[in-house]
Amino acid sequence: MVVNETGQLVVIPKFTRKTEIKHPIATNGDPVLAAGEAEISGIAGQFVGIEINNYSGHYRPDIPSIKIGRDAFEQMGITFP
Amino acid sequence: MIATYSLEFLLKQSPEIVQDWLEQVWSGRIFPGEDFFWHGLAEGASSKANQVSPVSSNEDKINWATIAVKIYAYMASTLHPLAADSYESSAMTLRAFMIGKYGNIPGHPLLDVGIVERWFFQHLPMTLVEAQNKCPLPLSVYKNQIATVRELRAIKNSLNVIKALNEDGYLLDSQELQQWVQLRDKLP
Repeated sequence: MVVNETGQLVVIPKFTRKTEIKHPIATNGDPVLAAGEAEISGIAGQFVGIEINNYSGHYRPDIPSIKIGRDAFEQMGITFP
Repeated sequence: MIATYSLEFLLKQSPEIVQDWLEQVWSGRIFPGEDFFWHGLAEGASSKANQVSPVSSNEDKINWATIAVKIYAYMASTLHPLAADSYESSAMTLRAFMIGKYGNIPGHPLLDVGIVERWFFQHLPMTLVEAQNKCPLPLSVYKNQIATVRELRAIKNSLNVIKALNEDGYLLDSQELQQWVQLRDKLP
């Protein structure tokens, strides 16, 4: 997932079968406010956040940027423990 | 000695040069700088390994993949152990991609299906029966036992690699792996 400079949350799968999708795919390489990995599960008609971090092999997001990611998901109704 | 090679510089070199640089770093002969972007080098090497380019030879792609896998292992074991699951998933997915392309070569440091199989079983936090008994998870578990949910999700992530190899015709002999693959869609 990334949060772009306009604050928009963009979510892409980490893998498609055997290929890892890098973050610039979601952004055309543009700067971001946050980037990382989010584990989300669907259950009983809703999405539940399992884990979120700032791991990215393209961007180098700092620890505080995780909150930006959490907040962006929360606006979509998805919270993380 | 501090090696001032930048990430961009390294990714423009041959895999042999990068491999030599890594060996010097890991043997303590040179120091890449505390702020060196290891994840960037791993991801860059991975991209070079699976790009569709007639310019790069198959040998170069295998060498780049080997470099990426080694760096992911280094990050998982030494630099960022808390992120180990993520890095190991990246490494094993790359292995699966390369095995699908170049075949299973037992004993090969990159292309040996057995390495992936052993990794899967070594990282299982529970038995197949335990996982089967927990799934499907009720919503209350998500709210009250997040550690269990995370364990099961980690298994599901590992199974993505196993499933891909299975679809390519590998791992068909392992009955237990087949049962794990069947359980995958029930995992959170």
